[in-house]
Amino acid sequence: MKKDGPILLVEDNPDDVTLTLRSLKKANIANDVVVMRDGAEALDYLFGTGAYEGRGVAKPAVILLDIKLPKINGLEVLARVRRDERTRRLPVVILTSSDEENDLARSYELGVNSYVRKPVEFEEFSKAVTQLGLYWLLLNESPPDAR
Amino acid sequence: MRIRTLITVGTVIWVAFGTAVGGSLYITFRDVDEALRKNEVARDIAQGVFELTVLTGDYLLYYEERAQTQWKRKHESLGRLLAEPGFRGVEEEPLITVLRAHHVEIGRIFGEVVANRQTVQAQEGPTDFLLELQQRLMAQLLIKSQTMETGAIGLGSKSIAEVRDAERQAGWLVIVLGASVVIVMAGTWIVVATRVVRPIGKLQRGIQILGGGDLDYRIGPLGKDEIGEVARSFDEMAEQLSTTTVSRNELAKEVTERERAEEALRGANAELEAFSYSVSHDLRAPLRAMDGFSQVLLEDYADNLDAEGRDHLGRVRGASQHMAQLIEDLLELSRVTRAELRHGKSNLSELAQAISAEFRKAEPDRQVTFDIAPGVIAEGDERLLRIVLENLLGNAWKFTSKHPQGKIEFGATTHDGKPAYYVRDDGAGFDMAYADKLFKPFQRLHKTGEFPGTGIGLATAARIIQRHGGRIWAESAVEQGTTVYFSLGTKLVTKGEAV
Repeated sequence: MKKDGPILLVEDNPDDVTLTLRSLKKANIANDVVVMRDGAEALDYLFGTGAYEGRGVAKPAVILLDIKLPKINGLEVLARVRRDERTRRLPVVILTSSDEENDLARSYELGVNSYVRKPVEFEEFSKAVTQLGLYWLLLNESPPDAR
Repeated sequence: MRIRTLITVGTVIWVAFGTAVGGSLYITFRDVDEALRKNEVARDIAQGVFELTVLTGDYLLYYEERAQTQWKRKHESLGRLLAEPGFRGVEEEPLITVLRAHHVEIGRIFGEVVANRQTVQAQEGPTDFLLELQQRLMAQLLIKSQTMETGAIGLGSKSIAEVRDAERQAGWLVIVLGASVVIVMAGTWIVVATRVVRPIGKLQRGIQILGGGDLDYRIGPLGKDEIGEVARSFDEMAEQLSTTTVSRNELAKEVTERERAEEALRGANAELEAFSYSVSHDLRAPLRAMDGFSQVLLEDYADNLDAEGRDHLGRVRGASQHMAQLIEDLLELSRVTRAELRHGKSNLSELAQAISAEFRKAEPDRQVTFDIAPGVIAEGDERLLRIVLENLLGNAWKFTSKHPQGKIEFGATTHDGKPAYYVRDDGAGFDMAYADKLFKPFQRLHKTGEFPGTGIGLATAARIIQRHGGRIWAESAVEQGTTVYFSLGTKLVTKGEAV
């Protein structure tokens, strides 16, 4: 079943944002994509704080999270998401350039659903994004309260 | 003179001295003893003479038989006393001789008195003549007794005088000997003080100074005797200590320097880790943009681009992909240098099989036979050894790609008596003239157009082999294949130098 929630893309690199959006479009994924450029903004959006005061807690269908972000980095965002009862079960996919063992280990320790390395080659990257989108939005069953 | 000799001489001197002292004391007191004994005899003689005189009076009183017997007995014992040898002194001998003569004489007179008495008693006629004789004899007897008494007294005082002399002599001897003992003792003490106590004091001071930390102090020569030898040994020991401390200080300095170097190395390694982390994230993102947007251009603006334009974009993409590969390889080289070595046994044959299977799966159309020797076991870090085989087999796979068929071998052999391993292919080979560049990073012996590559693979393999304390080398000829050999040492090199 297709999920309706938006895709939350947390990425500070504008090039990567453009390329990701393009890939998603090419994969015919129609969900809205909400882009946050840093960790703090992402958390504000998720918990309805700061600039998003009053809009309530967001329920994206999947969060595509980079690790290297300004202000608050991806792993910290992941930790906060997992700590809060309201957002604990949201699917989080870390999409990062890093293949450092520490990042990988830490991410799974914090309870990430999936860890994907961003390939340098665009075709590979595009394929990866497509697969991610199709899997998480079509194939994967969302947690109950997210629908 | 050596101390031992001194002690021997000293002992001899003391023994001799002691013997002399003892001997003279003994002789002297024996003399005193003798004098006393003689004095006793003289007293006895005087006593005897005196008693004889009393007995003479007794007898002459009543001419009793009993008195006569007693007189005779006393005269006999006195005679025995006088016969005593030993009065040999220059002054005594004549006295004794005289006394003896008197003794004999008095005996004769007494005999005459007794005989006369008997005659008187037996005589019946006039005894005036005999009585007169008796009177004369009595007088003689009495006079003789007195003379004897005087003589005996004279002998007595002579022998007392002798005793006093002997005692005085003994006294002087004791004083002299006492003084000599004091002198000899003082002499001994002086010798001990100068030859033993003072040098020992110097030794003691030397030891204290040395112990206090002044390692340059030397006692210097202290004579040719045993203590001098101790002083020499001491100086030698101080010399040794000095050199050892110097080398120990130098060693300590080296250790601190080494520690500082290690600290610096740790710092460098930490910096390198941070650097690699940065590279992971920050260098790859722009490359992705370059490749991505080139592709976007190709896709979206294909109509506006001619073949040349498309070619240019293709090159942009190629360049960024090449750079991505370089980054991968550099990161691996850096990781390989920094990694903590894990000791263990690896089955290289199994690794080679697995790797060759992966190549086959990736390019199933290629005709390549693998000849992998079974059961090749080596000691080292399994992950790193896998990387070596990946590189070597990967090269073999790559450089046989231009031939329709290829053969790749892996096995074990010996070199210089030590075990070695090899990967052989029958592919493109290289000119041995450039063999020294083979294992250096970024040095390639083929154009990128001929065979792709970054020039880091062999450098990575070489670094791993180096960390295992081994050697890697190659033999080849153009178009005749290549064999890369490597050996593994017994000692693994721990975290090594920066890349």
